[in-house]
Amino acid sequence: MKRMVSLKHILTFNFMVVALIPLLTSGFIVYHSISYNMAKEISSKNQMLADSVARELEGFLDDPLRLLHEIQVLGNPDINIPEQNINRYLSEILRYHLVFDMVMILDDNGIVKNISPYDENLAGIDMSYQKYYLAQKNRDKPQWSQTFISAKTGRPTLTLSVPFEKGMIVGFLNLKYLDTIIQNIRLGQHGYASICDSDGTVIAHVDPTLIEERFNSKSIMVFERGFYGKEGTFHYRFQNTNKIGSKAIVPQTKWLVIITQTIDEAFAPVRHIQHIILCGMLAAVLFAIFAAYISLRMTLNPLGKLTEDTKRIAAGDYSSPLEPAAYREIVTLENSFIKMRDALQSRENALRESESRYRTLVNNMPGAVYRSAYDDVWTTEYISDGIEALCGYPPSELINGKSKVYSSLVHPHDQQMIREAVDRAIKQHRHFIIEYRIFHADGTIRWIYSQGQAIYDDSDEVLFLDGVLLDCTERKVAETALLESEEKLQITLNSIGDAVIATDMGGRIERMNPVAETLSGWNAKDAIGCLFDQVFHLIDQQNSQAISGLVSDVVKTGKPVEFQANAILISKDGQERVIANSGAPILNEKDEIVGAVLVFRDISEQAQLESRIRQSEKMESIGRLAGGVAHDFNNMLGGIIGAADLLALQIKGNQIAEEHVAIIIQAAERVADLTSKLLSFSHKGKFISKPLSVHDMINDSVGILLHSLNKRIHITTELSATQHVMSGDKSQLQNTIINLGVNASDAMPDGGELTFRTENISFDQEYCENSSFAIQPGQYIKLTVKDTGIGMDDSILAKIFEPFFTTKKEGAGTGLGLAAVYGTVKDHYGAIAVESLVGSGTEFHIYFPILDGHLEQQTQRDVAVKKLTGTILIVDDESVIRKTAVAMLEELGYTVLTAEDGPKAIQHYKDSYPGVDLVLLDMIMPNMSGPEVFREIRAFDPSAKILVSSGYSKDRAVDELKQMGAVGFIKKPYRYIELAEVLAQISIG
Amino acid sequence: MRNAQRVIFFFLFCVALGGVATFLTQKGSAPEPIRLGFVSSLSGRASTAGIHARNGAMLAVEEANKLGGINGRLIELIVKDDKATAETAIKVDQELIDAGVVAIVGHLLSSMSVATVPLMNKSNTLMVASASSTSQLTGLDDNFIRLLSPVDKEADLLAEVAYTQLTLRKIVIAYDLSNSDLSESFQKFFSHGFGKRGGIIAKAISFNTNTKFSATDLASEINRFEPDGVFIVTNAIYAALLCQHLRKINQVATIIDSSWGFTDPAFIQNGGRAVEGVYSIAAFNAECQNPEFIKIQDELQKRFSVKPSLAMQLAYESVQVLLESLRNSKKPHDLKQTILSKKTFTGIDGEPIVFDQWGDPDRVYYLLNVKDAMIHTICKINPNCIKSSL
Repeated sequence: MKRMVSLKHILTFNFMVVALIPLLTSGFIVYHSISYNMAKEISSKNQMLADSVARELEGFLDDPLRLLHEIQVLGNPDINIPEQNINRYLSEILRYHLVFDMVMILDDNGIVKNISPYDENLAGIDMSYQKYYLAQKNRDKPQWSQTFISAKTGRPTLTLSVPFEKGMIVGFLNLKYLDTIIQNIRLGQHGYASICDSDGTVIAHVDPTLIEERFNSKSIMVFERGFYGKEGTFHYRFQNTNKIGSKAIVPQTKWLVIITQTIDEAFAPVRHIQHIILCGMLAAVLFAIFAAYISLRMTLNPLGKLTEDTKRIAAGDYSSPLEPAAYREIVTLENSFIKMRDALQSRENALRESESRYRTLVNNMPGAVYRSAYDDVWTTEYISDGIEALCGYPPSELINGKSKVYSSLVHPHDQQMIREAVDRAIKQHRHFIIEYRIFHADGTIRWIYSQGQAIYDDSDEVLFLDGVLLDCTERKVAETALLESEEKLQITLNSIGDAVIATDMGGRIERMNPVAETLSGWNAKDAIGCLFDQVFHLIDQQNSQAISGLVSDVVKTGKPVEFQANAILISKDGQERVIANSGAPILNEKDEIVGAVLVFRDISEQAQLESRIRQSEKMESIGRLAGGVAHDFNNMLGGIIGAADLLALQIKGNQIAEEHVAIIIQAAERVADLTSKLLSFSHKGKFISKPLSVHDMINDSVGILLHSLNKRIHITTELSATQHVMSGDKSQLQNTIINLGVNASDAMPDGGELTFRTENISFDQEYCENSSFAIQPGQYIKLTVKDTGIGMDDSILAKIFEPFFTTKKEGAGTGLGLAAVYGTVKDHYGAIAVESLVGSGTEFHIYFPILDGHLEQQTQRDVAVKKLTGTILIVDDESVIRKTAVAMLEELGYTVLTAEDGPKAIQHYKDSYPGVDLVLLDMIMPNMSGPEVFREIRAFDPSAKILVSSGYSKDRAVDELKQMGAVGFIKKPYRYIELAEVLAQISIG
Repeated sequence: MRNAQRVIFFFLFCVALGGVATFLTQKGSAPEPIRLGFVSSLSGRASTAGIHARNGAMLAVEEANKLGGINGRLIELIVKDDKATAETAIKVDQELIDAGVVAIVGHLLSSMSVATVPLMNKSNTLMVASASSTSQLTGLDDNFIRLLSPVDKEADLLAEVAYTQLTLRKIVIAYDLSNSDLSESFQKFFSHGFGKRGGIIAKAISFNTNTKFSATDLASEINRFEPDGVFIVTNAIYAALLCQHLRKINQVATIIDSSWGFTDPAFIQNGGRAVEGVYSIAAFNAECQNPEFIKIQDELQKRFSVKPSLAMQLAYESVQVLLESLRNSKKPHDLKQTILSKKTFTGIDGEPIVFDQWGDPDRVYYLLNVKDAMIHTICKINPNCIKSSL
């Protein structure tokens, strides 16, 4: 609200301005006018004094000149004064005229002819270089010199010289003479006169030191102007004092006469007058103020009384009578006020009655009605009684923040929100609805529902805020609980590892968790509201038929459905997952079905693992079967080949018989080769473990393949593995590489690219545990054999490692090649994988564990076959083997004993002890195994020599027996020559 | 109505504010002046040089004030007269110290300086002596710096000139005991220098101008030894009077005057034709063409109607050295250190003034003589110059 100006103040101010400004202005003008004129008068007075002194000095200087003119008579030829009397004459003159300190007469060369008073130091000396001499020489008029130090007195002096004969008379002026002129001049207490010569040197002054020290006054402004011929009065500052100086020039000598007075002293009368004027002005001002006060009081007092009366009316006091006024205008004003008072009183009574009705109405409403200011603290201007129930404070404490400001009750976290909401509503000219917390007087927190709007004035400024407040604590508590419950449910669902989908009765999705989003490929926001079957595409794993109606099944039965692992879920992006599903109805509080909840579990990995296990178990059982058959085959072949070898020895020379035996041996060897592959597949083949370079084996194998494969096949090697040494059986491994190469060649009948590639990789624990191969974590060399052939479909890929499975023409393949590869890889603790695409080619990936270190050079050792003597005990359960072996050994020259099982062998050995030189021991026998027999014999005879024989050379038992002292190993079926070679290496007997 | 009231109040407020601002400005624009003391002999026969020195100092200060003083503060030169007596010198120096001067320029007479240096040391006030070339103050770590080299150098140079260039072999020395600290040093070092070169000091005659002085008697006494050269050590007026009386009885002997009074115009004015041909050496180039010298020469004529002299030059240079150092020195007590740190200043003759660690300068000397009532510069002193000039 704008602050009203007091009429009293305005009238007072105006009166002062009207009365004082002319007064002060005229006073100021008078002040300055008088000051100026008086100062001018003082300056003129001082100037007149200076002029007067200058004139007096001019006249005063006539005396010295007159004196010198008197001396000039000495030059008159008519007056002849003896030389010796001249000095006396001069002395007499000086005695009566103190104007000169010294007088001398110079000749035309400047030599001192006469001097008075006499000074021997000066008499007769040359003064021709003195300034006064040079100034006077050749001049007729008297000359005044500048000041200089007298050689006689040592004090400043100046000279007056006049011509004399051809020389001159020089009078040295006594400066004290000048003092007599100025000493009598006093101006006030401190005013004085001074004289300086035309060079500015002080020659008369009240301060004798200035004369003594030849003070040069040229730098002082008042003197400086004088030297340029200017007379007048000037203000200046000297020795830290402000002064006024009036100067006049002495025409004869050009000396300056200065009348000096301090400013303070010179202008004391001016100051006095100034003070009087100022006091007068002050008195006038005070009088004006007093007159204004009296006049205003008479004018304003009736108005003041009327003002007091109206104030009483405004305060509600209608009973007091208005005092009668002295002026007619004010009486009229009073009468008007009386009418207004009566009208106001009747309206106020009506208003009070109306207000009482509304107040009762408002106070009976739930909550509170308020009016607050739109300020920083929402100052409460009005609030109904209901506020006490809301916050615990009565309206009397809150209105105008008497003892409590309502905004201080509002929760601090809600203050900013309220401010922003109200500001926003005001900006948009809309009402506002806010819910916020307050602190009740009892310390509890209450939720308040506030609805209100701003009331604006004509200029769109907010006057105040009107609104209602309601307690909504119960509703807010319920909402909060519901919200918390909803959050917990969502967290729970998000934490479940399975997909959870909730639908309504009609199968429309109401909720789904993140796992469900992942499995379906649908975003929950998009999926909610859609039908379940629209989002989740399920097909039967067995018959590939679409599965539908899961929701309706659950809703109809009203019972939970167990997990069913026979469905495939196809996601939005086409990805298939094997899932197990289950479902259950959703019941409301009355146990009524309101929807269904379905749970899907992704069991894809589990299914794949089970598949691999099944495949592994299948291969294992096939291997066991093949191994058993191969074992029996081996025994039989041992007999066939051995017998054939012996027969060949016996029929030497019978060509036809020899050819027949050779056919037997060749056929038996082919069978033995097949048997060997079967044994490799069943992990029971011949296995000799040595450090090997995979790269060397690849290069060797490629060399063989280059000569044997279709020439249109281009073979390349990319051997980038830095570590390529492994432990294994070179023969088996090389066969593996060649087998893969041959298979690749068969897949590329029209030629193509065959690539052998190596690299190093490492397997971690997790990878190894999930593999169907018995591989351990660590460093591996990965061998990739890639062709660009016809490729294979999935049905073929699933069977390629099975024995006797072949896609080749009948008779073109045995179906044991890849089976042997598979067996070799497993024997070497490796893994194999295959990728193939019909029409593009196939890649085999084989992984072997690598050895640290380098490959040592192996040297071939030729073993000479020779015949030796000794007794050999053959232990084998197969009679064919025993017979064949007996025949071979006897052919080699040995004495042979036989035993068909372990106990008999031990018994023979003991009975013949120490007659048996070597035991040829089969590893697999009924009743007692080879290792048990080995231990028994060695227990009886630690030095017993035992040669181990077995069709399962990979058997770890063979390695153990070798470590225990077995002298060697020979794989069954063995040839005559093989047996001879092995025995040749063993020292028997 | 309210607006009118506001305008009037605003007007009155501005007037009041202007008054206060003017008051403060006036107060602020007149900071305390920097007080500099000057003391020399300003009365008596010895005052001719002192007055010249005062004029030089005043000129330097007035020039500085015309340029705004130092850091906005004007320079106030407080002038004192030592009356050529040690007692007065000490008294007036104390008065200057009490007045708060930052340094004192003076004294000219060595005897005054010797008497007052202890007071300077005690009060830690720097004295920059224009002349005072006595050897008694040489090589001392005191509050005394001077613009003139110690007398031993000048005396030895003069002996070299007298013996080698002027070919004098027999000299009488007349020296004034009124400034004994200078004149005795002069006599001693000149005698030594002249003697070691083979010359003979026929007589060293002392006199005292503070007491009775008879130029006639002194001239007769000198002439009695029939010297071919006379070396005079006294102020300008007495040296001139002695020359006058010597020339009356001896037209032959070569007269050499010390720099004490030689360059003082009173020497020639009082000496007349008798001082024609008198030699001297001084750190003063009477015919200097250095612009700074020419400018000062003009200012001197305009301001004091006098010509330059050695005393004036040394006082002017003393003030210049002090003012330059004051501009670069934050505390008055650092003045000496500031001067010695800068070490080299330039004289008004354009030649360097190089201070040693004790505040004694090394500067150029000139061989001078009087010719046609004027002082002429024969040459800047060095062996070649002397030979070629004479």
